[in-house]
Amino acid sequence: MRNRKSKIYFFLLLSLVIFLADYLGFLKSVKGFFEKKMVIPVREFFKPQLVDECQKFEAERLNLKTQLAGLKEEVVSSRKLLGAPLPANWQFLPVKVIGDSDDEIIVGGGDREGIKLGMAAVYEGVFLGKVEKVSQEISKIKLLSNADSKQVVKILGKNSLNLVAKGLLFGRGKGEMEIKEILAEEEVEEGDLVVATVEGFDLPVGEITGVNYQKGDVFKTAGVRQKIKTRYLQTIFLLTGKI
Amino acid sequence: MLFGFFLLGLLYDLFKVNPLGLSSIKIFLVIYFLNILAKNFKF
Repeated sequence: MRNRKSKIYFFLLLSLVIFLADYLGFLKSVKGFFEKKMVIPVREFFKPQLVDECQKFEAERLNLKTQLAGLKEEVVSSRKLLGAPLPANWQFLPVKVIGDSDDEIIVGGGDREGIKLGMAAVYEGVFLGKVEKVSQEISKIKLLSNADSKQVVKILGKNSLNLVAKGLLFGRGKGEMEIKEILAEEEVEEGDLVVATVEGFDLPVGEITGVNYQKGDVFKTAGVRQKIKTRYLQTIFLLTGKI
Repeated sequence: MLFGFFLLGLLYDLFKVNPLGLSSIKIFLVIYFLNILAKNFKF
């Protein structure tokens, strides 16, 4: 029993030493080695390789809708001329998706590639979420559908593509999201487009799937479904900055 | 067995992009308290 207890203390101390060493950055190279040689290959092995073409079309459709809204509002004249879905001065870093779980994505790029906390993750112009954790060779992205995630969003009418409401988007897990704090008098309906402002530019997030409102309530809530099935994503882009 | 738990914690951290050792610490604290409980309540 005494021997077992001393073993517990030994491993606890060892864990603490490893934790502190990692926290202070002494284990960067060791961690990088294991992530490169073990974590990335294992995660890639278990990741489904099916490429879903529908995803691209869905993203493109949402993107075009947002682009249309942008054009209508006559915000960026140069974007009108070029027809570019994203601002030309944005810089992106392509990263390989090596795994996903519980509304998170693990990507094969980290501190070494210059990935920083809070960077926006984008796929075909659709805003997915932000970088939550960064290690040497891998990083974790918290999707907007993650239960801990919240984001200020705008809702654009499905036909007019004009701003109809604003609200706070909360993740509910399993690709589901909910917008709260939509004022009762604001007209929101199924199919409306949800966009989030990233670096001053509106990026599509998803579409309204349903609106909940009881007479007498101050606020409405609306369900939002993420249109991108992250399970089949192969490469996504991280917004690293502007030129 | 304990070494297995230790490795498991480290592996979990590596795969979940956590600070290394964090899960091992949690595992050992749980084992430690279970030990105390087992001693006091004679499971």
